[in-house]
Amino acid sequence: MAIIEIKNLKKVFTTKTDKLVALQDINLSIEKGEIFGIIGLSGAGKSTLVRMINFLETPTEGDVYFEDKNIGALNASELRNIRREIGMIFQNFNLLEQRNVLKNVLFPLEISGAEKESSIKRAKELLKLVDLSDKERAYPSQLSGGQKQRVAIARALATNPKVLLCDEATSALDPKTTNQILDLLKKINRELGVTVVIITHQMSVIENICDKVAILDQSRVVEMGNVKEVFKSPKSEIGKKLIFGATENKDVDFEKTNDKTCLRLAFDGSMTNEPIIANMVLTTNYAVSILYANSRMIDGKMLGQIIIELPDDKEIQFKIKQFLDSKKIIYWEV
Amino acid sequence: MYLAIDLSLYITAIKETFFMTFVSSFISYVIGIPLGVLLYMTDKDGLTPNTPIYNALSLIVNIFRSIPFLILLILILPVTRVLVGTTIGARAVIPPLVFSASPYIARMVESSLKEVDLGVIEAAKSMGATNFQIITKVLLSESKPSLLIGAAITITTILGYSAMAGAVGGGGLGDVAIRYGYYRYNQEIMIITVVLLVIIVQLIQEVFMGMARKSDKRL
Ligand SMILES: Nc1ncnc2c1ncn2[C@@H]1O[C@H](COP(=O)(O)OP(=O)(O)OP(=O)(O)O)[C@@H](O)[C@H]1O
Ligand SMILES: [Mg+2]
Repeated sequence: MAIIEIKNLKKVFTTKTDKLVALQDINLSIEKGEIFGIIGLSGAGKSTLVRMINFLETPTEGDVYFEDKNIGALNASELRNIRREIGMIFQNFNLLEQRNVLKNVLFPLEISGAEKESSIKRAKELLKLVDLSDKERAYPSQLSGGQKQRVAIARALATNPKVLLCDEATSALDPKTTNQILDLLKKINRELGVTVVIITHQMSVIENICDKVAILDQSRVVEMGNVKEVFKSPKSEIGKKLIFGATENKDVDFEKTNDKTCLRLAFDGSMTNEPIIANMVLTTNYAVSILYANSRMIDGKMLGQIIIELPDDKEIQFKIKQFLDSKKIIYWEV
Repeated sequence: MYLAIDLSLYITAIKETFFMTFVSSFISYVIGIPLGVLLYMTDKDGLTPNTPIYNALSLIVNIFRSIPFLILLILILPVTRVLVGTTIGARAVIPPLVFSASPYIARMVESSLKEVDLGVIEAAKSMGATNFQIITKVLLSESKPSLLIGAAITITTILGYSAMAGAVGGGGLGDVAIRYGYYRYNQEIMIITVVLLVIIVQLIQEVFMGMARKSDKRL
């Protein structure tokens, strides 16, 4: 069953000088319990889209349904109640700077009029879930970015929402912290059954935790489907660009010459300058042969792809995949 | 004997000065905070934009802020008489002080609220907060340090104005400075009252800045 249904959504921003169509012809159906990714370049309309799910932004045309309720048809107090069922986290965390960690998590409960004692109990449980029990009395200014985002997650979950919207939740974090936050989101999805909607411009985020992905480009959804399928053969130009990170080599000239299994590794810029292949050889004790590579370093970030040939030995194959998983490298068999 | 009279003179004057300053500051804040919040809310990027209301409020506030205090004090004498029943003494200074300080505070509050990160307000909205909850639990709480710094400036300014009101028989230290120090050429009294005023200003400033520093968790 779809928990969020977006129908023919359109958003036009009218400024003094002109009209800007930020989104058009948007049709999405987000199933209960899945992790849904929305990816696109800066200015594609990602934030606008996610903000229309909880009506922080009002659509110009079209409808948003939450559990079959048309959000646009609700009155102000009904809308506030629906918002309690849709948590949201942000790139800049948006914590209340003058409140300590515990009081930040208590905030949504406080404004919903929840009873104090049970609220404190719930807030402490959530802080335990995000592994911040020892920071209850700390103020946001005393926390690292990753810790702030974990407080924000605990806060967003306080009212027991069914959906968690994440707008570039990991964009302000380094790769290691990003992975920790993504693991936490995965845990929340699995253990609490919360449907997660993730907005990002990093393909690795989608690959790591999303079940489905919608690619947004210039106000439209240009591609949508299961992450595995979209990754295997992206159809849209922007999809290829995002997945392969290459602008000039849109199609990789790679012909398999034998029937050996090959792996295509994609680097989208989220990796730092670690010598990945060398480390893989050291870890797995197998000298892989590289069949194709167009990867390059830009600003200390690796972009592009590498195709390697796998040995027939299933055990070594498994080791190699395990290594790639541990490094959160995007790969698929070709 | 002379000194004893002197002393009681100063003590009464100090009491009057504190009375005028704090009573008018309090009333001015009671009026100024809602006015400032209203300005913030109705501004074009506020939570409830309303240009006609914003422009009207803004104009009224600016008019009162541009009238020199002494002129305002005289202009509203009839109003003062109706409100406090007299036009002389410490009590009579309160209405003009309130009339000139409230719009000033409204602007201070408006600018303090504007310092609050819009992202935090958005987060509160996403959690289902009402506008009233956003005002009390986000805007005013998050800008508390800034509001306290504003208060340090506002209250010392009101104190300065209250001393000015001494010139027209308003009581307090300013009154003593004018009557004894200026009209009777008693330099000693003049100097003592000025020193006392400086000390009081310094004290208020320190107390409020200290509170602002202590309440700010951003550090
Ligand atoms: N309030 C607004 N008024 C006018 N134009 C807006 C407004 N909000 C967004 N836009 C425009 O709509 C388009 C989409 O913006 P949006 O913030 O949704 O992009 P995004 O995909 O989230 O980008 P980013 O990755 O940089 O966050 C942009 O061209 C932006 O300038
Ligand atoms: Mg955005």
